[in-house]
Amino acid sequence: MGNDLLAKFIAKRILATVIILFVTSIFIFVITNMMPGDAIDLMLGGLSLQSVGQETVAQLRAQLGLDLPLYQQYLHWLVALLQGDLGTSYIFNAPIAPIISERIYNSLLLAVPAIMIMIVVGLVSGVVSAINEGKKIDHSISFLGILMLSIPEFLIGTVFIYIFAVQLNWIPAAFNTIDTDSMSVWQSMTTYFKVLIFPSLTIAFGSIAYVSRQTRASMIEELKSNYVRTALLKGVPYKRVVWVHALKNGLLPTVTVIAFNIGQIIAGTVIVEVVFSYPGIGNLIIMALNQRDIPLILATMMIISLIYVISNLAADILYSRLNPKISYS
Amino acid sequence: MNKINSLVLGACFTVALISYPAYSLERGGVLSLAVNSSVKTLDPHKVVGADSYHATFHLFSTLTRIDENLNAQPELATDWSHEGKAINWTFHLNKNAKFSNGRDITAEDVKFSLNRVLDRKQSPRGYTRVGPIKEIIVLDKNTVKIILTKSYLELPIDLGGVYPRIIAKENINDINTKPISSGPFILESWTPGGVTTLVKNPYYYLNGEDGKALPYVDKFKIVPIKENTSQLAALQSGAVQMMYRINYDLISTAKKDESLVLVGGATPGYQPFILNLKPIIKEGADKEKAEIFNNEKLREAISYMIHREAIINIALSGYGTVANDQPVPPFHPYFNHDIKPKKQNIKLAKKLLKEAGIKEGTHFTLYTSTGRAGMSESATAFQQMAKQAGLNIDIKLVDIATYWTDIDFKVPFMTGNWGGRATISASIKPFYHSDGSSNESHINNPELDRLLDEAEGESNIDIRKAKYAQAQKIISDSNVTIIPYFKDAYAVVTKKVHNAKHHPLTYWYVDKLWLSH
Amino acid sequence: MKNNSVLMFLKRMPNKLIFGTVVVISLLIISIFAKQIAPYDANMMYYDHLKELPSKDFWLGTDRFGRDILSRVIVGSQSTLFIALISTMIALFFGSVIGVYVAYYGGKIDAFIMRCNDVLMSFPSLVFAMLVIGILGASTVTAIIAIAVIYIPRTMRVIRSQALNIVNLEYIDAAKVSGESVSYIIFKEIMPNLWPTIIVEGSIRLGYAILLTASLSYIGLGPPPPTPDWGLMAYTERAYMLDNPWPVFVPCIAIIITVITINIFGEGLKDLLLIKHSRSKGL
Repeated sequence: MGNDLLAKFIAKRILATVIILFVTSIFIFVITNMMPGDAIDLMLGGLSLQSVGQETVAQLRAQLGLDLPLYQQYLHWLVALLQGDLGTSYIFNAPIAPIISERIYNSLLLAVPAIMIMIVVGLVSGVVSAINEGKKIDHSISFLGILMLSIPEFLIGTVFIYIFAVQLNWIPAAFNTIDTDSMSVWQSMTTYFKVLIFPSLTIAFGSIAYVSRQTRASMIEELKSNYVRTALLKGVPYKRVVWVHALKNGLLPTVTVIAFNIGQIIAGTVIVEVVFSYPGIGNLIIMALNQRDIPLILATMMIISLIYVISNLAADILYSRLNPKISYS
Repeated sequence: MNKINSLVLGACFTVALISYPAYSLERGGVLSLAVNSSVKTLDPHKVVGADSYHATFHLFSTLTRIDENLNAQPELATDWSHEGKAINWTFHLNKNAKFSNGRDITAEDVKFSLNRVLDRKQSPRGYTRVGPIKEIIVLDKNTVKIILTKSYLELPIDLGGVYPRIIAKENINDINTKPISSGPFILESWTPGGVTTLVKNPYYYLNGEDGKALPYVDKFKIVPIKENTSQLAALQSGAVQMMYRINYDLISTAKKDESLVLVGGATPGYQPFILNLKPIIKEGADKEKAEIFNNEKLREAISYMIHREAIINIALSGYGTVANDQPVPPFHPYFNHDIKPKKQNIKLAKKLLKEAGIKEGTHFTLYTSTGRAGMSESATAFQQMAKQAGLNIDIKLVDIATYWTDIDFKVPFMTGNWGGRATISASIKPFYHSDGSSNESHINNPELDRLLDEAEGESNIDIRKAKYAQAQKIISDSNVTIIPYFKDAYAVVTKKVHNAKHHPLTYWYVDKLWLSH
Repeated sequence: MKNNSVLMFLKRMPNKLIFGTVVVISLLIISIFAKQIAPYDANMMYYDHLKELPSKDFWLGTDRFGRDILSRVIVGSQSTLFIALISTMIALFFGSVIGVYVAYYGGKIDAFIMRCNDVLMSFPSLVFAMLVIGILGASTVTAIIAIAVIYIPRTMRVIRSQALNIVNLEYIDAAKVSGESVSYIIFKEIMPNLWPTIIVEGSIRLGYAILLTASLSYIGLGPPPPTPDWGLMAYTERAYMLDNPWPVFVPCIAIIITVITINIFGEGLKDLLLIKHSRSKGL
């Protein structure tokens, strides 16, 4: 494989990503405009049209640019976006970029530990299963995996809050109440840890099983391979063979699963954020949808799509780098 | 002055007062208030929904302040008077009043602000809520004259409401980012969708019980926490000191906690079943079927299907008062005690249905929304009650945007949600006058219109009361809105918070609260 | 003789599959005869028995409306299983057909469809469902549509990748050369070889579909009240969970049991169909 080919492959994938994002934006724009009601209806809720007056309604719509034909609204949005302007939120009457960046930061605070938990727990349990293939511990891990996939996230979250926040009072129940101004670095770190650990665990819950299964499958194959046998014969300790030699090779298919799941995790924070009242991007989308704040809906959805698409792109590139056998066509 | 209002409304609402041990007043501290969703705007004339009130109430002052008995008390205006059958009103302003930038608050500012509220393009929700104002005249720096289009006695109360707040003219363009305060607090930070932090306004002009300027606390934080359970947990852990509204379902849990105090009681808020007499008839739809609620017997039949106590227990966990299908609550001084709430009577309902010509098993679609707590529960409970009488109710749940766009005013049968207003006129007129801004049932009764128009300018209290009593009777008998209950509302504070009082309109004046350290 | 072969077949069946089949069939029986099994009318409200703890009369207690929770959980299986089953079947059908077609044609059509797939998959499923339901209004039918639309791209991706393996096999080329029609090749030559994948994919999807159905109902986007539906039950009763967790936990436990069994059943199917299959084919 030449570097040229790789570069071409990456360029091609990036181009595809841009196209995907473009199509996504049109799709979201059309579909949100198909939803009944707009920001003005919400603002005037409970007042009859006669009392507000047709021309007032028209003027309020015009203020938001809602009187323009859809394609013009979209083009205005697109032109602004290309100039780096995410627009102004209807509900907050404030620029969107700072609102979103703070929410993304918060969501990443949740997602990063979740991803780490997923990788560590998934890999370890997968390897342990593989070493003990067919034994009780393997079966228990596989059953636990099924169990984790079978519990609705809203229930896990609710149970965590019920036990740890309400009954035991261990964790602050809401992220918004953290006030680090009056805390030492250590205190604020432990506070953040306590706030983030349970939502992160909840998010990681579903994905651990995937990573674990994939690791188990590829490790079983690796452990039966010749080089493992050779290494063992040469007297390399078993643990080292498993955790270093075999895992290194067995990781390849797992990496794709992990990268794919990162996109899922970011996208999957929505319901967890709702359950934990967490001020991340997921809660922002839901609020924007409920309030028909189209610029905010577009911006948040685009960001989520972007993260998803990029993590998939990374998975593809990583996979092609790690696996010389793949063709770039 | 505001004699009539005091006479009429004085000490009439049942207020759940909390008896505290006699602490001496302390100043300072941070008070955090947990609310469901974040402050959306800082422009007091454009707020929608209670969540933004928490900020605008404390950033901007009003001419008057509505107290717990729904009387108007002085705030920016020190006193007021009226002449010519309550058409010409004069308000004298507090001479010490200053904006947070140090500039004096003058009659010009009052004129500017009220005119902005009266402009429906600037304040589409506000302009219906400030009384029938024709003109505002500046008499001198500290005196303002308000001329009404008709006799209206409740103007001072309306001027203490949510919208007519005083802003600085030079602040219009950046009121959302750098508001100039006329109220007890100034803005420290506002994160759209996040926490709003207000700090003490050094220029605020009203004094507390200790003779020094309000507010007592240094900082006031509005903390959005979406789930009510999490709010309670935050309160229990001490992360916040107040929660604005506790779900009825959680009240018993909160009661068990010794460190918490429930502050609440009856409110004029209610959730009606609205029988629309003039729904929008879609093309090709059956006109007769859409306008079926013009059938008086059918409306009456429905009012007898409802088991009011059961609905209160189901939708409000018991925290409500039985209502009699009109919007004035029993604890209101104008309440007509002769109208008894109907008892569930399935036999009579069946008989009335028969007389109305409605066949057993007829289907009706009842629209409701998850956007307001209690609405879908009460619809579900009603469905089962109607079934006993032989009606099949199909419930359609829609989101709140769809509700305002496609349902409200448009469909024949829906559930509604109203928070209750400060004045008797505002409690009835918008909803039942044929010209009312929120006449969701489209009731058009000339007799009722006349009574409502006359009563609001009638200065003889007995005549006034009689007129409103008659109006209530007409509304209740019309059965266009079946009102099963008035809701209670409860806030929760920790024991550290003092001076917390239940306000029937669930207003909070945080400048008067103080914290023990 | 016949008995013997049944026994042999059962012996070859993985334990997971036997366990899964037994429980899935009993769930189906419960759900079909729910109205006969349930001790009370699931919608009957007993106003004097609101939010009661389990008792002799109401084995699992009552909800905020005074309805029997046991009866509602039993009858609720119908709504949840119905939505999940139908939406999975729709997703499987469209996913398989489109997946096989694009695998067969390849090239630009394939690339285009797969990119569209990426677009659809990049939305969080819950948000996507909110959009669909926002447009069509919440009901059983729209819940089915939303879930099906969410799962079509996911199903398609799996089926397509499996179909790609088959499309390149010699006998397909032979069929092409001999001038067989496209639909003949797709439905007679390719599809039969995909059944194991489709069935396994279906059983996995079904588990997810139940979870998604419940999640949708849990945020009020599923069937309207008073339908007994597991997610909706948890949603309407969750507010007083601190006082009485029964009304929330009971339907949730029902969801977990159902999804676990379906997942175990799916794993068993996979062991039986795919692993055996791949071994016999030497893949």
